Amino acid sequence: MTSKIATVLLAAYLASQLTACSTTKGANVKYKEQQTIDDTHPRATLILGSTELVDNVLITNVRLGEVGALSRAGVDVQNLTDERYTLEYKFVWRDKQGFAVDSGNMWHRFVLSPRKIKSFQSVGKTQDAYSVQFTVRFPDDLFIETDKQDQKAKPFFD
Amino acid sequence: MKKLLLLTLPLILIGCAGNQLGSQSRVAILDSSSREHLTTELTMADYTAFAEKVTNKMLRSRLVQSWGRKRPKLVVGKLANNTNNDSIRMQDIYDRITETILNSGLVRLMDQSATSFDYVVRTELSETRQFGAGGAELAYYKLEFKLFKLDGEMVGQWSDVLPLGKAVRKY
Repeated sequence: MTSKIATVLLAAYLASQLTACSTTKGANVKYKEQQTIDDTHPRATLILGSTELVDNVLITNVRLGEVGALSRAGVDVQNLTDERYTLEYKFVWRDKQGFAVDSGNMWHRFVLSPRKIKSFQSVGKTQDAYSVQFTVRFPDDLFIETDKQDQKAKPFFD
Repeated sequence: MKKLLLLTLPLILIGCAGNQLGSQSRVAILDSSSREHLTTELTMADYTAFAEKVTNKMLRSRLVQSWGRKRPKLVVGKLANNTNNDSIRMQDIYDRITETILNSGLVRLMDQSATSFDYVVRTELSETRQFGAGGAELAYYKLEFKLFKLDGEMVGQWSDVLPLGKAVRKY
């Protein structure tokens, strides 16, 4: 009888420990998401294009306003680390129904030195432009990727 | 049996080599908005990026905001190529700029031969270039918009710079 009670108590203790761990982990993940992406603006979607950037690069301070008949958006990107990042960003504008407009926007390369904040702006160049999607990612460049693959394949060149 | 093996082995090896050559074209379709560079020269993506960024600055200026829905008549003058490279396709840059301005709906875009208009945009592309040892190279391209009234008064100026750097090759 005593051993049964001991087994039940042990099982209950282990279960409570496991639950506690998983809760903590979940809370941490949620906390991190809120820290590095400010998703409070209803007309802006902000995207960090790599898990490596989560926690390390902050997108915040979203502003949307009018310039004459057009819409304008501004965001701040901050490097939270002591690393030097080469990244690229792109604005995509959408109309009130969510369809992409002003599709001629390109990826723009930029460098974030340690702790640096950079601000970027874009004007929705059609009068339908209403909401904005802003993405930051590591450069997606065929030749950079090819160099990386070559270095993996031929490490003796280093 | 040994002879058979000796005969078939080279055939298999040749066959494999052929497969590899045939399957590796080394040509990739790129994302049209990505910005790859093989040399320190401008690509079509750079033309579009220049048009995007300079028109961003122009369209958010106080002057253009004051136009509201008046839609003044605008002529985009011929682009001046002040770089050392005569093969830059200025017409493509011109087309990207007019496409962006026209789609904004803020102005009535007139042909260069028009006799009645309110503003003229003059555009100039220039570059500076430095060469280092081992093939290192640094090129700065600048696209500049200058907006003039009919009486010649300059009422706006906006520019964007694109720096391209080529590092020394290690091997």
